Amino acid sequence: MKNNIRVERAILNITQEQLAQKINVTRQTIHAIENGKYVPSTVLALKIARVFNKNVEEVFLLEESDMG
Amino acid sequence: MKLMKTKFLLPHKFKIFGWILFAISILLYISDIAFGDIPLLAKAKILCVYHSDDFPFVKNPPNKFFQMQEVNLEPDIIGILLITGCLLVAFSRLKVEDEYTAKIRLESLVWATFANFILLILAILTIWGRDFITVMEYNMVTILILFVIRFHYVLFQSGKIKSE
Repeated sequence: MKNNIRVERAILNITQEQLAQKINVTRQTIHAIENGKYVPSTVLALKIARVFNKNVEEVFLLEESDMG
Repeated sequence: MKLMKTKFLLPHKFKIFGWILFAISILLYISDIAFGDIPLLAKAKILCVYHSDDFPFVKNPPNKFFQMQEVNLEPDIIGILLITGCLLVAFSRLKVEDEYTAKIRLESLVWATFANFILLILAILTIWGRDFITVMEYNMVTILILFVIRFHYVLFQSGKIKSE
């Protein structure tokens, strides 16, 4: 799964830390998600998408490798 | 701030108490090695639920139940302080506990369990004779200590990455 969090953050001009605070997680969590090291729960994905005012599928996208 | 719901974890403020208990138990242990027993604790008379004078295991041990006996309380106190301290440090919430830290917590617990018992098997294979009891004494807390080290190391590593 890939995601556009970094791009969306750039559009809103907020840092990882600021995004983390908006949704009550650590900056490490945002960092791990952005780098594909951690796949967030559905709840967290929805919260992230809400910050960006987008649908969750505009922020998180399935990849070929996910379809196995 | 709304906290993530977690089962069984203690409030964050317990962590500092854990470190204090841990420090006290280590200081007592060092003082025991350096200066010997603390007289007040080493000859304490208490009600023992079970007591046996002989060690190692004998065929017909003089088992005693519910009797006043003179015992050395020092290892018991060090042990309880150390275990309680380690438990509090290991299982108090982080300041921000979220689903990613919960994942690191679980992975570290699995890692620590493997590491602990691999070390124990190595000790079983390499350490012989009555001194093996020392291995078992340390092994009472090594699983918690390994967990604390690995959990905090991984958190520290993922915290080091600079936000761009």
